Amino acid sequence: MRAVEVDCVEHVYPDGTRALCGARLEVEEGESVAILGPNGSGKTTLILHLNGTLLPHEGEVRIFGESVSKKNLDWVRKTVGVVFQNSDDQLFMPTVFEDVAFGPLNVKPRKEALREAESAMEELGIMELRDRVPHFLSGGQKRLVAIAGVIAMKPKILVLDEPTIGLDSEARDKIIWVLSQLKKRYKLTLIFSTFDVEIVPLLADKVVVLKNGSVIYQGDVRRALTDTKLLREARLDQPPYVKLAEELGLNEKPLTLKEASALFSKIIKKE
Amino acid sequence: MSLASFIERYLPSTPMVEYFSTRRSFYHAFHSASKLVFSLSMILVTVYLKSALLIALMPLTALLVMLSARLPLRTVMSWSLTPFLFAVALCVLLPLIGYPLLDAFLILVKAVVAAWFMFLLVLTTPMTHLARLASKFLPSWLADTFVLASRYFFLIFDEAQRMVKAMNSRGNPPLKRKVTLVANVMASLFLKGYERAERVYVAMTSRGYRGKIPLTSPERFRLRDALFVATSLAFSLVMVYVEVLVI
Ligand SMILES: Nc1ncnc2c1ncn2[C@@H]1O[C@H](COP(=O)(O)OP(=O)(O)OP(=O)(O)O)[C@@H](O)[C@H]1O
Ligand SMILES: [Mg+2]
Repeated sequence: MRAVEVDCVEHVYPDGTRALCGARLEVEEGESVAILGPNGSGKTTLILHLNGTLLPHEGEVRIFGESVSKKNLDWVRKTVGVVFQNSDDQLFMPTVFEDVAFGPLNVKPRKEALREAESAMEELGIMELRDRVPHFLSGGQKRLVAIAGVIAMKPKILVLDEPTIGLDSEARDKIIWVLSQLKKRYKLTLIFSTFDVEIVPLLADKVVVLKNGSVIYQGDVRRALTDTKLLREARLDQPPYVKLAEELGLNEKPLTLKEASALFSKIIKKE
Repeated sequence: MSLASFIERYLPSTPMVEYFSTRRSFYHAFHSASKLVFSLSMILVTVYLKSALLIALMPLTALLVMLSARLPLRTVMSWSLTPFLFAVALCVLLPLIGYPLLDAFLILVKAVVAAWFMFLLVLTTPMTHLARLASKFLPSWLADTFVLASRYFFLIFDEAQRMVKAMNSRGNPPLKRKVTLVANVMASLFLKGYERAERVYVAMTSRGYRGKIPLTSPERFRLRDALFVATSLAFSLVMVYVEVLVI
């Protein structure tokens, strides 16, 4: 089943900036999609359309076949959980636990709600932050709490705007691990925007490249990440192992550390 | 000392208040209504008393309760500076218009002690519980606004501070230009605040908000609360009795 369809969406901000012009993309249920594109290409604008924070001026966004409009915003927002780029925008309660429990308590009986909040926190390994005040958390901790608050609502589609931006390598690894676990365990549809080409092959089944508000590529991860011209248009670096393979004149282009080590040990054995 | 660091040190900041109010202690565990009754009755008694000896008991009571709530006395003392200065400004005038010096001094003490009892309430009762208490008298959306405002006021304050720092680090403009710049800062903070409010609202509705912030642990008025309220009222009465009949 199609989880998300963005059909010729146009969005013009009040100051006249055309942020999306005829963007089109499709995401199947259970699929993970990385949205790439240079600064100002419309990634955030697109993401804000997926749960109806912004509504298109032209075109349509469909979630599981239902067109997003003012009338079904409640259902859309329950189905599509969005983690904003700035975690402070979604941590509004005085303590971490109250924040994570906020959603479940609004829709479920207390006992069940608290259990769900706890299990979301366990899932992300942030139980020890339970009684902390969000204001004093580090960026990485805030991001994890924000994700916990969203997944505690059990959305079918999880959308994240630049989930690894501004994090140290440990926090980044943790986010990658958490997202891949969520993907594996539930049939979660995952959509994230990023500049971090290394996480793309680890998490995504599909790549969408935006430029000037239009989708200029939609498809295979490997093809996107080895297409030098496309990457240059998206103003992205090649993934490091692809770069290395290119330097060495190899035909095979490994995307991840795992693939690279398999390739190079094969080459070493041959010699 | 810059204004920003002065504010940070000597004015209660919501993140700090949140931090202390969500900790646990014997005193924290009382129902917010009983803590409210305690603080209010102590403030009323403090204001009413006239004998120096009895007034001296009130700061002692406040300090003891603060200790039992494991509150940081140093922080509370720094935060008392502002009410203290206000009271001083008022009290230096009183002897000039013929008040005895001792009376002026006692008014000063009373003002600071009243502030302490307020701090005691705010630093031991989570914002959500205070809001719930307030929603008995106010509409709940208004009470919720206090919870959100308390969280975001300091984020905006931080932002303002960063913008002023960024401005200063790019040279010290002449006063006239500074005024226009500050006006710009205010405008852009307002815009940022507006955009943030929109996103916060989306974040809240997407997590099922229907006009009332839920409590993770609803409060129960227990026997110890009844005893505590009774003791506070009895203590107040005894103080007033001694004041009126004995001294
Ligand atoms: N609130 C707004 N008002 C006016 N224009 C806006 C607004 N938000 C974004 N834009 C404009 O819309 C375009 C797309 O912005 P958007 O934030 O979606 O890009 P992005 O791909 O997320 O960029 P980045 O990688 O920098 O986050 C940009 O030209 C930007 O200047
Ligand atoms: Mg963006």
